[in-house]
Amino acid sequence: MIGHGESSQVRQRAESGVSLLEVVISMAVLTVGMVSMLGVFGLAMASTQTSQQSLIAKQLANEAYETIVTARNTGQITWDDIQNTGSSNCPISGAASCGIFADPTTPQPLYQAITTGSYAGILGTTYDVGQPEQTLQDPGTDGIYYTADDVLIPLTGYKRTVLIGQVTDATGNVLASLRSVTITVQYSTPQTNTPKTYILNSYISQYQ
Amino acid sequence: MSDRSTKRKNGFSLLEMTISMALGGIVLAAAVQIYIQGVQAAWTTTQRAEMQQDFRAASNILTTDLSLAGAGLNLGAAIALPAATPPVYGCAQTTGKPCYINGGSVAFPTQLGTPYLYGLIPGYQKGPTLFALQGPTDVVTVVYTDNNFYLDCYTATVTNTTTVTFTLPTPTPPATGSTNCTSPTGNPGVQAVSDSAVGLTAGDVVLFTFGAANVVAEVTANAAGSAVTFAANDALNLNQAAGVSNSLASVATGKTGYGTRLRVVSYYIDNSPTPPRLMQQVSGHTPIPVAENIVYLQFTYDLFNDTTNKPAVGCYNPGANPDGCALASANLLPKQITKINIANMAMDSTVMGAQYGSSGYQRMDLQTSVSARNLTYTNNYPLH
Repeated sequence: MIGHGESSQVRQRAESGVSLLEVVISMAVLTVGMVSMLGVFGLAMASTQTSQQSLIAKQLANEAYETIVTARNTGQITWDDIQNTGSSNCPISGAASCGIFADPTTPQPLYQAITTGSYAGILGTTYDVGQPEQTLQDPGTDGIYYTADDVLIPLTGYKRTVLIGQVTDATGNVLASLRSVTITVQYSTPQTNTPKTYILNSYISQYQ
Repeated sequence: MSDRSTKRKNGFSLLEMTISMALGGIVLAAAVQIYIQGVQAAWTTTQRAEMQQDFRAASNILTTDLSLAGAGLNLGAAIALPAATPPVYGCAQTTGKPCYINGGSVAFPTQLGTPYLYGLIPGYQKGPTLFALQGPTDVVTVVYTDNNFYLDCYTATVTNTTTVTFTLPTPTPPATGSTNCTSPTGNPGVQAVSDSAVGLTAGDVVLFTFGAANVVAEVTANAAGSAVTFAANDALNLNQAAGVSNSLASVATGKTGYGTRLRVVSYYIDNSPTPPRLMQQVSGHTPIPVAENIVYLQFTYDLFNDTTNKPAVGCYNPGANPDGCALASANLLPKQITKINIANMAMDSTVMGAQYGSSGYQRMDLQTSVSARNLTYTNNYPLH
């Protein structure tokens, strides 16, 4: 009887402890938790990678704006030309339609600018369509440019829009010698489903 | 028997102990792995953030300076220099006159044998070679007027072949009547020529305008009073003997005009320290580092041919053969550069990354364009 009583106590104690099954289950739970923690690290790393793409997007937008400023300064294109294609506001030529920049409703792949003629070196124009796309040269694993393992990374995930708009004064009159420039660079990242955008807002004057 | 049995049931069996230890070990090992990964991720992220800040600072300084090329040089951004000894850039007016660009100096570009100071001076492959396969790095030099000090409010008088005396005209202020003074408040508030912060110091480059003549000279000693020394044998070979065209010494004693301080700013890679750095050298002063770990620097330029009214795009060595743009830049001069394309400025992560294998190695590239706003003169180009 005494033995029986003791045995019942032992059973109770054993029940109040941790069984092997419980340990295994808790480990499984812990593992799930840890794996999700790993996912967080991955996300953190990925978001720092995204900032690299943001930097590239910014450079691509600035680059396009600088080409417009340069073309305005050199006078290689007219003030009529500094508009989106199909504009009916053509005071210089008096033509029915003018403007060289591609349709802003359709984001363009990053075509390289043409290199000859009056429209050379300007990004985002209708003349660029069909040109090879811009690439980033990566030096490869050896870290040295112009070696066999160089990788030319196409900027296929990027799209650019150049929107030239009219600017009005306080009373709503259109300013003849000033236009707004909005350059939007759209880029998708593997981490996010929706594309991200970088928008550069600036102005361009007819005169330097 | 019963006692012993109770004791046995109270403790762990060897099997239980072994299993639990094994399981515990696995959990611990996983935890350690996660910790290591966490540390690595934190390190990589910190390094990346730091790199991005350095990189942004460096590219901001570079692009801002490039956009200023030629600012204030209302001479078609081309000023003839004395030719007897080829003038150079990249040297400092300090003891021993050390030169820094690839361990030496770079001669100014010439036009029909005469060296010229342009608003923008390309330095194709003038920098050091970091990797033989990659070839030499580029140097770029921009020249613009320094608006931190209104030297142009002073009347400059040639005292002798090596000295110019700067005096503020009276009555002060000549708010009107002084066409060259760029100070918004006239003469009051214009600092002394010997001002320790902004005054003329050894190594400064001054552009003098004496009527129709423009000469460039280098200050060879810190200004002590109103008389400033432009002695011969300066680090940049700008102060040449009397009789040499375009030298200050050739200007007649007693001639009056005004001076403007120029900033002749060169950007180049210095690989003598480790890691390599992007350096900025101003006029004849000691260079200062802009960013560490810059391992490549390469530029191309867009020029405008005002005979054909067509641009030449993406030329790495304008006017040379080959020029990188199918000889579209033939016979064009650096003053016709309208846009600077930073073909590549690459920054590497620090070598510390090696401890984590290739995952610690990171690189950032700058590939963008800057319009040289002050180098494009509408009077050279068709107006519409």
